[in-house]
Amino acid sequence: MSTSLPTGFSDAAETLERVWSDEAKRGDETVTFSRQPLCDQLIDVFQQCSQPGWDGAGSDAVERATLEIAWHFLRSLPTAYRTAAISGEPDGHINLEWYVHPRRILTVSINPNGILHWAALIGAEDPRGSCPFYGEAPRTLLYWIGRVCNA
Amino acid sequence: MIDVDHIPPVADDELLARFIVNSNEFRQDGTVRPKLFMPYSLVDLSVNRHRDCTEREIWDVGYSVAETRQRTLYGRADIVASSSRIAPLDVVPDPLLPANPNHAEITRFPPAKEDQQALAVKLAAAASKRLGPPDC
Repeated sequence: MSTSLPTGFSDAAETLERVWSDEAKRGDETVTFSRQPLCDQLIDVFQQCSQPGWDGAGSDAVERATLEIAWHFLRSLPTAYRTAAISGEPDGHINLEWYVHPRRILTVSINPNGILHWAALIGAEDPRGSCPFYGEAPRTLLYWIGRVCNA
Repeated sequence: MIDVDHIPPVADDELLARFIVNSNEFRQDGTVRPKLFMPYSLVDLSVNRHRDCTEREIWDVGYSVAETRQRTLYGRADIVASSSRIAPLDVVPDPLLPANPNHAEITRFPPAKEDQQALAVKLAAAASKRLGPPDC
């Protein structure tokens, strides 16, 4: 199975392709079709949001660094949790959303410095917080993603 | 539209419209995403009061918002004012005269992103599903 993304995309594709290739070189041969949609979503977000003003005056571009952090964060999650909807935000962050219904939802916002801002709504519980991403998914987030996904 | 010479406070039972100008602000099932209610770098969020408005007037404002932001109008989500008044939030009139006396703001969003997100998920949960504009 190929571990390369299709060529001909923008800088975003090149960035993700490089990350992907680096991982393959480290012996990670677990790239599967199941991750492709997430990769596609990230490329779409970057293509749509990589210019200042993409969401009207004052909106910040999504930087390549943020794209890479988002990709590494997604890769750090158990396969079962790689189901987030991905979108850009006007402050230049990348948003990941795990959604079951309006009162069972977790939203994570990734900034260019690798800080994960998150909030959930699970029934009457409304936890929230922020934490740095150092390459491994924070346990707190794994817990709350699990609470949302394993209802 | 509201009488420009007499703009009343926002009553708890008033309906407010939040216009949708990005396709990723709603899901396929019509529910709206929290990001529709995120103020981001601001601490206030624009909404439009239904009070004394015809349906046509509500949509005219929506089209104007989309045109100003150079976006597509995908619809709107409605929310009752009382559902927007979750601590520390409030809803206050913010008429944009003379064109739009019905403009209002959901105010007092905290500056921390995660606190904004926590409020936005509650607002989205309380809002209606996407209502499409009349020409869709």
